[in-house]
Amino acid sequence: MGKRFQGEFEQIVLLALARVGEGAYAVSIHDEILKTAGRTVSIPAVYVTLSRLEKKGLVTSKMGAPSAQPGGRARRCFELSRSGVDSIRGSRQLLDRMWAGLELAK
Amino acid sequence: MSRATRPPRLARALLWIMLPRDDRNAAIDALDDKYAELVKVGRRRRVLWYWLQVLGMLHPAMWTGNNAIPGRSSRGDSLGADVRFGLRMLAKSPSTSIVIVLTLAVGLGFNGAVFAVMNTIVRMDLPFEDSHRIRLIDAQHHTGGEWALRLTYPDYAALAESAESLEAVAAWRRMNVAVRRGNDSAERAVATYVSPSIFDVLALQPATGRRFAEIDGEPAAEPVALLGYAAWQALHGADPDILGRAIRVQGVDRTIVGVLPQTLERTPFTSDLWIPITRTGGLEADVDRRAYEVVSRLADGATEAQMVGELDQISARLATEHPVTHAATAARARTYRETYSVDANRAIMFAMTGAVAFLLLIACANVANLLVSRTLQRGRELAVRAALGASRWRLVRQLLVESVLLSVIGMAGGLLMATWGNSVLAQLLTKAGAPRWFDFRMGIEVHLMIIGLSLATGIAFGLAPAAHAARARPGDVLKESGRGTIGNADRYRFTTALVILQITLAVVLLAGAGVTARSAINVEHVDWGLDTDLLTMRLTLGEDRYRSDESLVEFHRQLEQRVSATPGVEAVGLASNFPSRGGLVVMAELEHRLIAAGHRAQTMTQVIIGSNYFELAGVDPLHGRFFTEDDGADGELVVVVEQRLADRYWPDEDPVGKRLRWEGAEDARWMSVIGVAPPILQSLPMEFLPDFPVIYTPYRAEPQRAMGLMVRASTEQRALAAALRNAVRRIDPELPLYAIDPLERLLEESTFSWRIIAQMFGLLGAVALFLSCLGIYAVMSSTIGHREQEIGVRMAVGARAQEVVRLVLRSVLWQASIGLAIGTMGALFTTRLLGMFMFGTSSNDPLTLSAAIGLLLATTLAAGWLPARRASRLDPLQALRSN
Repeated sequence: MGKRFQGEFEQIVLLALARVGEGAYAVSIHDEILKTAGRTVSIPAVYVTLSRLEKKGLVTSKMGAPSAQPGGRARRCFELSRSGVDSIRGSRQLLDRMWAGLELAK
Repeated sequence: MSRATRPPRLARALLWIMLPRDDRNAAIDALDDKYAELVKVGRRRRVLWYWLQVLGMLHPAMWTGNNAIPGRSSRGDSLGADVRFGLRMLAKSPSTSIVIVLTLAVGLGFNGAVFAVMNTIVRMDLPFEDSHRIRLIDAQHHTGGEWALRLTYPDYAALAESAESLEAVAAWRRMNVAVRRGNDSAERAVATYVSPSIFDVLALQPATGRRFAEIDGEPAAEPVALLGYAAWQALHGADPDILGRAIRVQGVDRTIVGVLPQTLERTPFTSDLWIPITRTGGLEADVDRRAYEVVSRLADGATEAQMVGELDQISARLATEHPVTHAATAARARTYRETYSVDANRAIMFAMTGAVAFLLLIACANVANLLVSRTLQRGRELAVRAALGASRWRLVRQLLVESVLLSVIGMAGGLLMATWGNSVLAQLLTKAGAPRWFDFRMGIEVHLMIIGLSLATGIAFGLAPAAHAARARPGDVLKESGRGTIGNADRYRFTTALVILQITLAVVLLAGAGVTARSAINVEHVDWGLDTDLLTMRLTLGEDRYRSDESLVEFHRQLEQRVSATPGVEAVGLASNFPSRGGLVVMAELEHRLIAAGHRAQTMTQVIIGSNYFELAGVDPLHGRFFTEDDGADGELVVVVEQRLADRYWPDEDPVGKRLRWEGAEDARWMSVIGVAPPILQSLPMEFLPDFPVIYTPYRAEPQRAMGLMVRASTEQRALAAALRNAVRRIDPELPLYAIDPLERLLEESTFSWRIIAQMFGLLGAVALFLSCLGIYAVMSSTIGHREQEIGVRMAVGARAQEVVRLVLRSVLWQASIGLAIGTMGALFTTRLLGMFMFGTSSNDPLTLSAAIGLLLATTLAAGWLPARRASRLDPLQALRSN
C-alpha cells in the first residue's frame, strides 16, 4: 500500500488524525484541518475518507463513550495504524526526495 | 428536535443519497452534532454552513481516484467527459440553451408555487400530539344544508359529561376585547375564552407558567389569563418576569399565569390572550346562545362510528330536553382538514393545478422541440462520431446527459421562481381570506417534486432526440447532409404534433383566463346598493362592564350623539354587519304561509341596525317605512325586509303588516314587517354561497355588544379617526375603537378572491400564449432553415416573395386550426370547473371564447410571419449554395 501515492485529501486527513491524537473523531479531525491547514472541508467527506482509510488498513476505529450532552451519541474514534504511520512517513520522504536540491525559478 | 435546532431537511436528504450505505448514518450524525454545537452563530448562518458541508461532498476529488467515495461508481471518467462536453455544447448555442432553461424554470416555478399551496391545504395538519384524533364539533340544521352552527354552553357540558368516545372536550370562543397595560390607553386585543379542558384536547403545555385549572372557571376565582406567544414577544418584549403581572381586560384586572407555546401561533387557536370561561349559573342554563366552538379529542381506541352514534344520542336527548332550540339541529364532528376542504376551495385548487400542469406541458413541448431541432443540426457531428466507432448507447447517453444538464439548470431556476411565486401567492391568499395561521411555505415535498419533475422532463424530452439520433444511419446522414437533413418526414410529424398540443393547451388556459377576467370585471362593477363613500369602525363592549341591555342601548345612544357632534361628521349609522360582511344566519317562521313539511322555517341573514342606517346609506323605502328612534324599545316588534325577501315569500302581496318569528328561541314573539328596503348586498350573490335574503331588525330590540359604526364625513378621514377615538374615550376611557376603514376598502376586500383568481389565470394564460408563440416561432424558423434549398429553388424558378410567405403561413395556419379546434372543445369542458366562480357571465361565454381563439390565432400567425418574411427575402443563389 505504501508504494501507492495517497490522494492529497487522504494525506491531510491522516496528518490531522495524527495531530489530534487519542480520541480523534470526524468532527475533531475536521476542526484540526480547518485550524492548521486553513481549509474548509466537509465533515461527511472526512468521515467517508476515514472509513475508506480503515478499509485500506491505514487507520483503525472503535466506538467511544457517548458525549456528555443530553441525548449525546457514542462517537466512532479513529487511530493511525502501523501502516498508516508508514504511509504518511513514506509520503513525506518521497516529497523530500523530490524536493531535494530543487530550485524553482521565481 | 425543535425547528430551530433541526438541520435543513433537504440538505440532509441530499447527503443521505450521496453517502455510501455503511457510513451514511454515522457521517450524518457527526455533521448534525457539529451543527448542534453552532447554536450561537444564528440560524441563517448555521443553515448556510450545513449546506456548504453537503455541497463539499460534490467536490470532484471526492469521486475520482484515491479520494473516491467507496461504494460509489467511479465511471466518472466517461460520464464526467460527457458532462464537460455537454456543457461545452450548451455554451456553443447560448440562446437556445437560455430559452430552454427559462422555459423550464417558468413551467417548474409555477407548478412548485401552486403545488406548495395545494399541499398545505390538502395535508393541513395541526401541530399537536396525535392531531388525527382532534375533532371539531358543531351543529347542523336539518333544513340548513351545509350551514354549520356553533354550540351552546349546555351542549358542550352535555358532550363533556356523556360522550365516552371522546377523551376530552373543550369549548372556546374568540372575542375582541379592550386591554390596558399600566397607564397606557386601551387597545383592542383578541381574547379566546376557553374551558380548562382545552389543554387536554390539544395535548398542550404552556411555554412557561401553568395551565388553567377547573377552579379558574369558578365565578369567585381570582381572574387569570395566559398570554399568547406572539403577544408576549411583541407587546411585552418577551419579558421573562411576566408571570404574576396584571393585565386589565375589559375592565377586569387579571393575573398572567403563563405564556402559551409558540406552536399555537400556527393553529386556529392563536390568540393574544387565553381567558378561562367563567361558569355562572346563567351560562350553564343558556340553551339559546350558540356562541361556542367545541373541539374534542377522540379517545384512544374509540372508533368514528362510536363517536357518531354517541353524538346522535346526545343530540336526540338535547332535542327532547329543549325542543324549541334543539329540535331541528344535530351535532356533527369533523376534522379540521375537512372544514377547509370545502367545495369552493377544492374546485379552485383543482383548476389551478390543472392550469399549471398545462403550462408545464406547454413548456416541455417547447423544450422537446428545441432539443429535436438542435439534434438535427448536429446530425453530421453525431454521424461522424458513430462512423468513428461510437456506439448508439454512447450517443444516446451524450444527448441524454445534455438534456438532463439543461433540466438541472432549469430546476435551479424553477426552485428560485417557485420560492418567489410561493411567497407572493401566500400573501395574496392570506389577503383573500385564507386563515392567517396557514403555513404556505414550501416544504421538502415541494422541493423534491420540482427536482423529480425537472429530471423526469429532462429525461423524457431528451429521449425523443436521442432516439432519433440512435435510429439514424451514419452513412445516410453523411450522404444526405449535402442536400438537406435527416429524417425530415419523421421529425416534421413529431414537431407538428408538439405545436398542435401547445396550441390546444394554450386555448384552454386563455379561455379560463378570459372567463375569470370577465367575472372579476363584473364583480368590480357590482352595485352594492348604497352610497359607499363611508368610513366604518367597530366597537366591542365587555360583559364585565356592560351587563344589562339598557347599558348597551345607553352607550350606543351616547355614541351616536357624540359622534354626530364631532366636527366633520355629516351622518352616523349603526349596523351589526357592514355591507359585504354577511350577517347573522337566522331561521324564521312565516305566519299564514303554508310551507312543505319539514321545512317550517326559512333561513335569512339578519342585520341589526340603528334608526339612521338607511338614511346614511342613502336609500328610500320601496313600501312602508324604515325604523324610527322608538322602534324596538317596547311594544310590538318590527322588522324591515329586503326586497328579495318580500318577493320570495309574499310575491303577489303587500308585505307590510305580514308577520314572522324566530325559530328556535324560547320566547319567540311575532314581528311585523313595516317596510321593504331596496337590496343592499351583505354578500356577493354567488353560486357557492348560500343565498339568504336580508332581514333588518332595530338595535333597541336586540342590543348587541359588538357593533359597527358607519360615518359620512366631510373632512379628511385620518384626522377624523383621531377625533372619533376621542369621542369614544369621553364616554368610556377603557374602550378602544378599532378596524377604522373606508367602506370602499371592505367592499374591495370582499372581491379580492375574484381579482386573484383572474390575475392568476391571466398570468398563466399570458405565459402560455408567449411560450406557444415561442414554440411556433422556433419550429417555423428551424423548418425554414432546413427548407432553404427548396425555397431557393422555388424562387429561382419564379416564385414571388408573397407566395413564399403564403406557403409558410399556410402550414402555420393548418397547425393552428387543428390545435384551436381541439382546444376549443377542451375549453368548453374544462372551464366548467370554474363555473362556481362565474359572476354575471357563464363559464363557456361564446364572446370570451372567440376572443381567446382570435388572440391565439393572431399571435401564432405573427410568430409564423417573422420566419416567413425572412424566407421571402432569401437570395435564391445564396440559398442554393448554402449547403
